[in-house]
Parts: sequence; structure tokens; C-alpha cells
Amino acid sequence: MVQGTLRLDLIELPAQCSFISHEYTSGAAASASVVLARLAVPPSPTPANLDWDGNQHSALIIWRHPSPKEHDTYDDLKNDVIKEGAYAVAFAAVHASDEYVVRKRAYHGSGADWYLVRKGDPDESFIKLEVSGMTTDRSPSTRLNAKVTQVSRGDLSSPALAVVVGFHRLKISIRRR
Amino acid sequence: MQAFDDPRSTQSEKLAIEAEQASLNGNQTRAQDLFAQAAQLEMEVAQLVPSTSPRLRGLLAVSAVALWQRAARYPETEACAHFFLQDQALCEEARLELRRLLTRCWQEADLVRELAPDQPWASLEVNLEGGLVRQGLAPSTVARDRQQAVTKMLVRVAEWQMNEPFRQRGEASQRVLGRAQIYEGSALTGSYGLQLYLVSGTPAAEGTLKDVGPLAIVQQFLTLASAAQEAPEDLAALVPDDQYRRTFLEHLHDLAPDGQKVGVVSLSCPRLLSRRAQARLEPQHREALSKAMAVPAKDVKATHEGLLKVVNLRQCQIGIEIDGGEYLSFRIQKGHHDDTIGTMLNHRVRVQAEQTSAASTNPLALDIRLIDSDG
Repeated sequence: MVQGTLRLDLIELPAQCSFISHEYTSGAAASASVVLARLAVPPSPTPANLDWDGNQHSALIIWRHPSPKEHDTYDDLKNDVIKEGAYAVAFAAVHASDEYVVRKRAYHGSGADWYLVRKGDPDESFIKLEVSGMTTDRSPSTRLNAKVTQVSRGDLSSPALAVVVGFHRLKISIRRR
Repeated sequence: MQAFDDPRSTQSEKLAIEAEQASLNGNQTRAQDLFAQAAQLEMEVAQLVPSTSPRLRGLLAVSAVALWQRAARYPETEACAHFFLQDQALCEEARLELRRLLTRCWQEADLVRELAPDQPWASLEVNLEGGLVRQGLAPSTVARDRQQAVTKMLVRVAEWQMNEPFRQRGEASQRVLGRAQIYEGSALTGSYGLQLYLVSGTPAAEGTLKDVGPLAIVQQFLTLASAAQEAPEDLAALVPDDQYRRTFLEHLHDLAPDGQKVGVVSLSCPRLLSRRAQARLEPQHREALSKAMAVPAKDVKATHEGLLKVVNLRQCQIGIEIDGGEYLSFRIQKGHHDDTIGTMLNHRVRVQAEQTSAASTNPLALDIRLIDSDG
């Protein structure tokens, strides 16, 4: 795992996730920026904490304040915007911390949202990724446990990562199954 | 070149995203065309993956079949699934999912055949697992009680979305039922689940009711279930109406697992984006819902437990037989328990009642709960 302060670069996300639609990753990054702006977090680079299986890492979220059009497009803090924004942060987090690259969207019922492959590894070694976003001040532990259970049950038996993005606390929690 | 690097895989992804957006915008024809294009490309890539990569081949095979199904191209769905199922090296998990997708494909094809070309419909999958539930088997009362909770709540959601005044008793109006006819399909292979189909009796109407179709009802149902999963108190923001909110809490409570007879209840709608159309209820959610519905302690003057023997909704009365054979009568508030009390008949219940000062007036039952969950 990369040492030091991790850079979770949402602006560079489309380039990092080149195998996924540019429009999608741009939209997800914009969703994250809307959520962060709504919560009035410190401006970019925003200090955050990344908890990977109990190991704490300092991180900086690099993001761009949303334009008025993006504010209108992504509206209030509705579940979809939070979820999409959480994807963006999760993609950046797994890429920065362990060189995972998002390669494929998961089909319905797999118990996962996306599939990842570590840079340089064969596609057959893919792992599942399940992501959840929170904007409340609640502890992410309950949600994280549920996500670990969910991604463990899926239809494709494989290693998996469960990620909970706590926007309010600026904490990204990752658990590996 | 690895499968994920294949330009067709990337193009398939882009087409699927575009298709989902078209679907959300109500353009189902365009969405299905785009899904079909995505499915074709995905299938081509999957076919190139050798059997020596069973996980990857399985993942792409399932993805291709799922995309054909989203395109409502049922013959192609079937052919694609059968093609990959011939591969003995395919991983077991992928085989299971392909069989599940096939079952769903056949059910949808049968449904679509019966409907008019522009008749809206949506599906809702309620999956039970854990506890006494086995692959393809579940205690009948466990399944039946949850089927009733879901169907009653779907009708209530439709009424709520259509701005109907809260129905105190009786059946929903034909105006509502016409928008939400509920059919049940057989459980999907490899699970125990309820496969429900909401069908609108009329094509999407103009004006204010335009968006209150089967898909909107199912989406709202899942939104409420997701909110309850997060925290039942979040429902207050979504559902300002006290009566509707309480009813939704009761139905979700009855739907949630108790941890003994059912471990997990998963809810999903395959036609919606998977990530926004799922809820997963576990025993802790049932407890949280119980607490959310609990009557403030200061209002409760007496608690009684017994067998619910009499339910008279017309006269707003119930009767329980407590240990020792004594019979107690209670008043109930008109319309408060109509949706849920029927399933409690002849089961042990706990009644929290308000004491009355007049000896001739029966106490008012503030809350009635099953003691034996799932009966």
C-alpha cells in the first residue's frame, strides 16, 4: 500500500478510470463535489481520513467546487447523488491506496456494484467493490458491516472490498473480505 | 488483449449507461435498443474469453444475459444463457445466476405476451434467506405474511403517490387498483423469493398522474424501504403524513426478518438501476422499526398478552383470550390496524392499552404486536 498522505483526486478521476465512460466518471465526480459543497467541508485539498482494515491513513480529497449548473443538475442531497458521489470517492481511494482500477460495472444481483483489477494483474483476478455513502454524523461501522456481509454473499465468489464514504466526517472506511 | 481492454467492452459499458439514462427519462424503446446493442457487444467479448478463465467468462456471460434481458429481447436472452451454460468449466456461481436470469426471462416473456404493447409494468423481487429458509423452500406462513405485507404496502404507496386521502378501511379504489394490479410469479431458481409484477390497467395518462405508474410505485416502495433500512426516523422527512408513515412503518416491520425464521429480506427491481433499487432488511432493522412505532411509555397504562380471538373492524373492537381463559375486549382506532391485524388472528399478541376511567368502556388498544413473530 502507498505510504504517506493519499491524494484522492476527483478531478483526475475520468483519466484514472479510462475504461469506464468519461461522462459517467465526470458525473460521479461532480456528484461528490455537490455533496461536499452542500456539507460546507473545508475547500480542496480537503483533509480526510482513510481507514483500511483498521489501518489509518491521512488523505486529501482533491475536488473542484461545483458550478451552478452542476448544483442544479444534481439537486439536493438525494440518495442518488450521495451514492454516485460515494462511487467517485471510493474509486479514487482504492486507486490511490492500492492501485486498483475500476474495470466493469456489476450486473444486478451480484452483491457488488463494480469490479476492480489491480494495475498489472490479469482480468481473471478481478475483485468486487460495494460502496455506500453517508452524509449524516452516524458512525459508519454498522453500514460497513452490512456492506461486508452484502458483498460476501454475492453470486460470484471472489475477494471483495466494501467501502463506506462518510462525507460528513470526511472518513473513508474500507474493509477487505 | 485482456477482455476488459477490448474496445467492445468499453463501448458496451457506455451504451448501458446511456440506456439506463434513457430508461430513467421514460424512453423505454430507446433504452431497450441501447441495451440490445450493449448486450451484443458484451456477448461477443464473453465468447472470446477462454474456459481457462472461468470467473471472467462467467462474469461477462452473466453481464451479457442480463443486458439482453434489460433489452426485453427474450429469445436472445435464452439463447445466450443456454450457450454459456453448455460450458462445463463455467464457475458455479455464474451458472446459478444464469439459471436465475433465465427464470426471470421466461416469466417476463409470459407477462409481456399477455399485456397490451404500451401497458406499463414493473417487477419487484423480494428475496428471503437465512433462518428456516432454504434454496427454493420456505415455511408457508413466513412467505405468505411477507407477501401480504408487500402487496398491502404497494397499494398504500400508490394511494400516497396519487395524493389519495388515507383510506381508513376497506379496499383501495378502482382508480388506484387500476394503476397497481399485482401479480405473483414463481420464485427464481436457487433462491426463495417472491416475484411480484405490478401492471397498470391503463397506459400512462397525461397530467398529474403521468408518473404514477408501476415503475414509479416500485421505486418509491424501495426508497421507503431503503430509508427504513438506514433509520426509521428518516421516514418522517419522506412521509409527512402521520397515518401513511405509520402504515409504512408497520408494513416494513412485518416484512423485516426476525433473525430466527428469516435471516435477511432483500428487495430489488431489476428494471431500475441496480444501485438505486435495492434494500436489504436484517433483524436489527425490525428492532429499529419496532422502536420507531413504540407508543410513548407515558401513554401506556396496561399491557396484556393473549391469543387474538376476535377482530371486528366495523365496530372497532378486538378481543384476546389471556392465560387462564379470561377474555379481554379492547377498542381500536378506526382504520389504524386494518392492514395488519388480520394476520394476527389466532396468534399471541401483546396489547398496550390506555386505561379508561369508565368501567363500562373498554380500554383503547394503542399498539398491537405479534409476540410470536411470523406466527
